[in-house]
Amino acid sequence: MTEKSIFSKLDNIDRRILWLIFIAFCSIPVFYPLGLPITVTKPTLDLVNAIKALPDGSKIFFEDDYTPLGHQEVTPECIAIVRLLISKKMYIVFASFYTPEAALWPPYIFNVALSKEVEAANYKYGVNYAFLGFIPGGDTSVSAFCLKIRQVANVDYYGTPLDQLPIMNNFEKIQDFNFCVTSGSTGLAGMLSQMQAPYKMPMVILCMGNDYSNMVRYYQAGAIKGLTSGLRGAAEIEMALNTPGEGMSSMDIVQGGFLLLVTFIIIGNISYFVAKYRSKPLQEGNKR
Amino acid sequence: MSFIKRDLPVVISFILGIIVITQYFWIDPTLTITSTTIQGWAVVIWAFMMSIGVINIFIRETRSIISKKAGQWYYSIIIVVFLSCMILTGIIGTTNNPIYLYLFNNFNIPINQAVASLLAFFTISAAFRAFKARSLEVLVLLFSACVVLLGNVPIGSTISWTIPWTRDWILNVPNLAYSRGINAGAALGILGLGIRTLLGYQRSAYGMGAEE
Repeated sequence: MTEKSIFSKLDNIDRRILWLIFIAFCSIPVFYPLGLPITVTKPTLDLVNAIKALPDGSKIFFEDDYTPLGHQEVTPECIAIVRLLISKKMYIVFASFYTPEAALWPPYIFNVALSKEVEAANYKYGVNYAFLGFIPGGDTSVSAFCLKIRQVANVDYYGTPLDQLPIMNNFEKIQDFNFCVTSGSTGLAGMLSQMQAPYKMPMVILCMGNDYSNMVRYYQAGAIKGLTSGLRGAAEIEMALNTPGEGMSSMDIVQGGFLLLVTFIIIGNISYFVAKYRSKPLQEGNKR
Repeated sequence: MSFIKRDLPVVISFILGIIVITQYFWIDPTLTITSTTIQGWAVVIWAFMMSIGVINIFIRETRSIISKKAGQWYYSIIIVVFLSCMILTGIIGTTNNPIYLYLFNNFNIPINQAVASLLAFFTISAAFRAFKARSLEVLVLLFSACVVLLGNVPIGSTISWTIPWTRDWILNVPNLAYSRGINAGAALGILGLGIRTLLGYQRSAYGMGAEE
């Protein structure tokens, strides 16, 4: 009876205890980094290599479309890639088509997260990079943007006419760009159908963790040059480029959380089966 | 009147839709310019739709406050106050306004992330209490979930090389097969829906009931 009650108790454990264990487990790496190993997967390596293979000074269109919900996952990926783009003196134009809040991420990346790198590389707004902000319209605006940029965007994020930005003199339509980086969640399918497929635009995707299984088919089919997702993706990019950042520093917490989740599934099932197995003879005995 | 309400939207949609579709398959400068202009209109219409959405929220929430709707009116006050703050600060000083950025960075981002973080807690308690292998199908699902979870983080490959290998197989073979099938079906469905809408059979797309 005592043994049965142990498994019954374990099976019906108060969820607040589980939450406390989870918080404790995730907090340990914050104070004591464990330095768990990070391996770089092939889709991420292909992504990094595709950008590395571009000649210095290439023209990049960077689409970012994620809400604050995806900020923690996707921004570290974007930061890692923008760092690489800056190191290769690329010309970068940012825009978002699906998420109004996404217009705030590029200024954050350049003015806050990578301000030192931007200053060191002598990157100038309007000359080396520009933010077009949010262009409403979803798929339709992507399609119109590809045909004629100024049809859907006449001013940049700060309200400056595009004709006053020297960088924008190089761009009339999407074919004027050499490469596209798509980040986020909401606009991935639209970007693939409206930009990559019709114009054969070389593209890589930085997505959220839950989008990976949907996007992997485009990578398998060769539609995109590379793919990476979530904080793990950021850590892999940083690992591949040997530039430690937010991704690598957060991986211990993510790995710890995932490991605990699997451990809970296993313990939960063991307690369930033991409780079930031990209750059977009792029931049979009662019947007799 | 019935022509204006019933048939004109269908005629306009048909003509504009055909122009945009034709441009995709047939390269012609005039057609391209026309199509680009039409798609430019769509962007303006989209922007109007967002304004209508905001006005709609204002009306709905204000009504809730005035009528003191039980269990909702105090939430409505929060929505109206913050919506007004974001709109006013955004209009006055654009989205670079320090007050706007302060509200966005200190309210919008943390609230969104807090909501997302709650999922982790529910998943943890569900992992322990609900993910039980009660049948063979659930056992397969559980095994796949554990492998994909562990394979998603580098520690999986540290435990065993078979974990990332199995995870890749799950993602690249069964997952890919089912998702391609679903997508092919969805694409055909969208094509059918598009043709029905352009031909005016999909009346709900024009704000009319099916019987109209």
